[in-house]
Amino acid sequence: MRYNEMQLTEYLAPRAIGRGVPLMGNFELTARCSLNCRMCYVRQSAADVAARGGELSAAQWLGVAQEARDKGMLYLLLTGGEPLIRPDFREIYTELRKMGLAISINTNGTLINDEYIEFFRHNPPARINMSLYGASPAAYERLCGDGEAFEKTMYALRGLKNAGVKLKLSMSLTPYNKDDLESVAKISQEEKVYLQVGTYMFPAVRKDKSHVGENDRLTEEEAALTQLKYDRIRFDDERFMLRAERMMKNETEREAEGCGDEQGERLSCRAGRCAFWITWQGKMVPCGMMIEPYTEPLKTGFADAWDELRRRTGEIRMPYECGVCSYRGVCDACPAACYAETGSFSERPEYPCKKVKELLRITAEEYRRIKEKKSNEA
Amino acid sequence: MKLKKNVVAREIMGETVLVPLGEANDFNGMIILNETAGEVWKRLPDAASADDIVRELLEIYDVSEETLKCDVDEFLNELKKFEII
Repeated sequence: MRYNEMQLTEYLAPRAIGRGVPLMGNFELTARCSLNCRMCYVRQSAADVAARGGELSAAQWLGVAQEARDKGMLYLLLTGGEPLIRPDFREIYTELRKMGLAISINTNGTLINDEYIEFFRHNPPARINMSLYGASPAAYERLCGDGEAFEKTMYALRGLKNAGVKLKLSMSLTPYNKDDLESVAKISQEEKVYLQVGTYMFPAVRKDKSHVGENDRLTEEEAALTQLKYDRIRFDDERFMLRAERMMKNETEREAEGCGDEQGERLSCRAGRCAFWITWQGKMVPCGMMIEPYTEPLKTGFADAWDELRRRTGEIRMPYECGVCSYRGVCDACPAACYAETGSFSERPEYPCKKVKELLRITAEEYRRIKEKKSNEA
Repeated sequence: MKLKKNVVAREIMGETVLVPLGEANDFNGMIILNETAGEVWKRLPDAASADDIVRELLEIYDVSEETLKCDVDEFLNELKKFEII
């Protein structure tokens, strides 16, 4: 019996959750980055990193990786900031690979030159997730502060593809690059690389707790519209309509079920249940968007830190209103989002709430429009 | 049988998962072994041939030699296809 990596996680993750196994790790190797994107939740300058205690050494990362591996970690994401900005990235990566881990790497691609392309050709990760924030130097200048980054990223994309490395593109939509959505989708189609689009930007509480509820981001209406635009780009009429029907059905089905738990729902994703994230400062959190709960694996050892994290994750409750909401199946709200928007896991967040209502409204409108067009054609 | 160096075997919640360690064109993704495959895998380093493995497994599986040989061969062929052995 053979499973590719995607199906294997569907098989392993639920069992890992049941047994409390830390199957999936995320290592935020650095907060430094070669770019300076406006919506970033983590970036710190080299000076600020130094002032805040510096980054973990390669030995520290490898030590915690070994402990996590011994407790059952199989998947590992290396991220940042820009992980390749570390001169010791290759050293860390090579040693991690020997441990028998399926490693993915988040990168902006700007540091992937010919040398790195050859390196990944001979030492391929399970996947490289490359951000593609625009389809022109102008977009990169507006959003990331570096117009030259676009060509570097495209060079990396093509080079890695030719080298046989598995790739995925991700685009975060902001006021500064939303108009590039169609052209980026076109690049994804031409290069035959899957594009994942994000329209919800978390307030950057990781950078500064006072950022609760705010971010230089699309308005709720713009975010909904952009998401609809993307759905129209990637789905033909039939598939769009099927999906729209399911979205609209969620509305009625969910209302009938309710939640039944007066306290609000527990976390339903893998964070803190079979997945963990270690920040550039060595704190373990359930997910990279959260600042709490956190534990300290470098002080207490990985096993104790993981057990405590799981316990405290189990105490998180979402807002009561979300549990009984008819839009729950389609909404971006999750515990991390609630916290980032309100400062509390249990307070209803305004932004995702408004966004999802708008998304349903315009999706239904588009659905009717297509239906009418088809019946006119018939 | 000689295992090439392009794979790391991990025990994940009681099952064996083969994680690739080689170059880009070695096997895609990961391979999780079912129970029989796991028992074959364990015996690979010490076995000289498929027949050695079949002989040992006949002591723990209540099936015909023919069926077992078929299953073992199928698995070994998969491993050969991915250049793991």
